Amino acid sequence: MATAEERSKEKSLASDRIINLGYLPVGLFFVFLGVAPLLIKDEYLRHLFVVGLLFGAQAMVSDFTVGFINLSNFGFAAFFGLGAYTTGLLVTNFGVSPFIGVIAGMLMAGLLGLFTGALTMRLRGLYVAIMAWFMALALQSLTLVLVDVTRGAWGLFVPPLFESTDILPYYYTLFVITLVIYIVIKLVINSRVGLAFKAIGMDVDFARASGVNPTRYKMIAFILSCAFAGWLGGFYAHFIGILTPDLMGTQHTVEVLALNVIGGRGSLWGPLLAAFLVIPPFEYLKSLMEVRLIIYGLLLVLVMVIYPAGMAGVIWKVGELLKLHKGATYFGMEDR
Amino acid sequence: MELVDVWNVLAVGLVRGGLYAQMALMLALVLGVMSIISMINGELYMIGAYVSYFAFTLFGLNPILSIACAAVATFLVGALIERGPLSMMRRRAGEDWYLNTFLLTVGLSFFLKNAAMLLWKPTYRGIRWYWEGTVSIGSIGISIDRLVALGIAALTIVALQLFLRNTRLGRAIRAVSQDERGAMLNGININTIYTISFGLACMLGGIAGGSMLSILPASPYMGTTPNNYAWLVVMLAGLGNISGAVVGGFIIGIVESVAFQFFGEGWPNVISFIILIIVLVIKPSGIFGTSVKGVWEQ
Amino acid sequence: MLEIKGLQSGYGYLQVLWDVSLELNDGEFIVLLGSNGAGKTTTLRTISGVIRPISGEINFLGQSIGGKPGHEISRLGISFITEDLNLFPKMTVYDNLLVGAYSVRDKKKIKETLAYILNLFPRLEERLNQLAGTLSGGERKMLAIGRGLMPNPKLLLVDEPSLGLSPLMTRATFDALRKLNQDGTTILLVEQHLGKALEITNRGYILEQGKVVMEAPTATLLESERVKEVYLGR
Ligand SMILES: Nc1ncnc2c1ncn2[C@@H]1O[C@H](COP(=O)(O)OP(=O)(O)OP(=O)(O)O)[C@@H](O)[C@H]1O
Ligand SMILES: [Mg+2]
Repeated sequence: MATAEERSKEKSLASDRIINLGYLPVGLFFVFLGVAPLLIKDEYLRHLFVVGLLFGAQAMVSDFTVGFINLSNFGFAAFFGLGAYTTGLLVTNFGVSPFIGVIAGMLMAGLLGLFTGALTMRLRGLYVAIMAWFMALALQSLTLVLVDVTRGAWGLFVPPLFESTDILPYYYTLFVITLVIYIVIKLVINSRVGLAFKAIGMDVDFARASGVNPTRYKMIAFILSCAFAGWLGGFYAHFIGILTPDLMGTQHTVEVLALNVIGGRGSLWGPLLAAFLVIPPFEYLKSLMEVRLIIYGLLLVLVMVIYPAGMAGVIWKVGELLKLHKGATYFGMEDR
Repeated sequence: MELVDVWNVLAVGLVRGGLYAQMALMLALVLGVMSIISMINGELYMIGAYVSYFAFTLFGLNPILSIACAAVATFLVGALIERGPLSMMRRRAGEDWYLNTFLLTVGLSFFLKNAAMLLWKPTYRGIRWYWEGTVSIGSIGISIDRLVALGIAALTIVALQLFLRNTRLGRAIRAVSQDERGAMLNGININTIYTISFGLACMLGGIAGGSMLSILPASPYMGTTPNNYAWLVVMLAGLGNISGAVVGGFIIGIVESVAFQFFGEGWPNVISFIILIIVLVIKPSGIFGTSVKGVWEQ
Repeated sequence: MLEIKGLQSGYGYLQVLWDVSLELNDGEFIVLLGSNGAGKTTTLRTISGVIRPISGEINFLGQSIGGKPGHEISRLGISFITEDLNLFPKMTVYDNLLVGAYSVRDKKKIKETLAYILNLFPRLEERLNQLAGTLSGGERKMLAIGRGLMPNPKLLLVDEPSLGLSPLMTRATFDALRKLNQDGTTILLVEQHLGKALEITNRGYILEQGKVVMEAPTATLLESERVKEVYLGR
């Protein structure tokens, strides 16, 4: 039996358990995402695709820190919400172009990430996670009370990105954003920085001893993921048209983290896929918020108790049994 | 500001401080003994409030018995959660333990509060008083219920400390929090200690919920804010510090009450968080903070 | 008292012990020798229930204890003083000792044992209210042994008590162990520095790469060419 001490050691083999299917299946998945909405004529289904991709992309961004530097962001929603509100406020108050607004939102979220990280990154990962959570709570309350600026709970109306009400342009904008984020994350992971992540993931002390500065690399990953969250938030603002403070609530963060975990940590594509399986049925439950949240709660508990490696773990296992991919490595936690 | 106003603000602050101190203790107990990031504190508080409400109104029990019912019920719920999902997860996952406990308890919390919502609807279920009347000292007065609630908070905090310091079981809990292998080799069943600790922590929340029923009525989402504040207090005091958490609980309770008086709805949150951020900028590990393990000895 | 037959044990996929058999009789003082990594600590961990055996039998006082959880084994009367002591650093010496008596319900008995231990290690008495984490290395070792004695164990497993101690302290520790043995406690000692260990023990086993390669009374061991060569460096 692992002692709590051993369990709580924030040493992870995260980068060892990257569930790497290789480029072909993931590429096919992206091709599917790119083509499917064109073939689907149903407006509602297209809407589901946008929502699924939006949540999937968020879960994927969250996985960048959870799966690679073993750092979970309990305040994810704040960075997403900050991106959304930044562009929303800039566009409505100063008439800035939405495209610039979205970039500004991304920068703001990155800056908040820098601030949060600078406060806590030297401490244990737990502090970063909880500090980020407080940032979210503080931002949420602030948007709620600064009614003159944000309109508080009344909701801030944000102009749309495109003139036409057609949903496809939105979908493809989001698709491109997601693809760019995925590629950037992959590039980072496969670069020298990624090597440092790997070292940190394996053994922080060893990494430090061999000249890697864990704090610096963790910061890089954390800030990047915060900025990505802000970027997606900015898109969301112009897609949905109205922003309310619950956007930054713990509930939103938990939905993202849940998808991250259900999809499987450290795979990037797993969370993306999970969103497409989980979100559409949930959209039907939108009016029954309690039921939706009860199911989310139960799903989370079930995944944590039964199979913490998530869907990606299952798929990988199946693939392994079918000998689909040689040479890929996976040391799932269920083997220990 | 009149003296009476000052007194009112203080009285409200103290009672809320008692609540936060209890919740912070609850959190520190499971964090220190089991390394669990618990997010269900608020829901146990909620359950405690409902149990007392039903015991008091439906079954007409006397106040003390109603609160005792909440204590027993929340202990059992806590023990059940530990024996069920938590220990199942412990057997399985070795990595990412903190994130896993966070997600599991968040999942449970969502489940519990929304099940309560479905079951009991968002209506407030409160009582006018456990004990009617106020105690007045000169021109200022405080309701008996507030006084009792504060007294119960103080009592549970002190009783918990005494229990941990001076009893066989209490020592065993501390032993497990400091060295699990050492504890096991001395005949302590770690799993039992986990269950008891978790149950005890949950009981703290239940007592808080029950004893404050006439001040804060039962409702499904009532636990969310206290849970946030409990974490804030624990971060403010430093993750490893118990007496700090108690002091911090009262400080935050009073800050909240004062902020509400001067700025109104919503601002207490903002101000408390800003205070926390400032403290963390100056001293990242919290005002009194050190390590997490061995929480009980500082 | 303790009988081990065909014990296989290890960590996960790594098997460390291969078919180990040992026997301890009532009142004996046995030493388990072996070079680094031979599996001595692993043997003690398996007996005490810290790790589960892969297969094989462990019988203690006629009862099979293989695979039982550690706290149950401890309650049956086996105390294990580990290499890293596993003290409770933020509890006082006194509280540490009381935790040692966790499974004893009889208050009078606890008092008696405590008096016996403080008599054995007078240094502990002076420091009863000091935090265990602030003790010196030697005092910590005494405390660990003292704590292990609190439940009045029938069998004491001691892992390298001389580690990190000055010759003087080592001597004092060994003297205490000898006294304990004379007072009736059966002891299984793991030791690398054998000069002294061989003087006070009755019998010894030599473990190499997870297998018992020799078993003999200490007098014989002292004469053995192999021991002289490998362990005494002569
Ligand atoms: N917790 C563990 N996990 C995995 N392998 C371990 C563990 N502890 C020990 N081992 C391995 O088991 C083998 C035997 O170790 P053990 O500690 O039993 O040796 P020992 O005889 O006590 O050595 P020493 O004299 O150095 O203390 C070693 O190869 C060691 O690397
Ligand atoms: Mg050893």
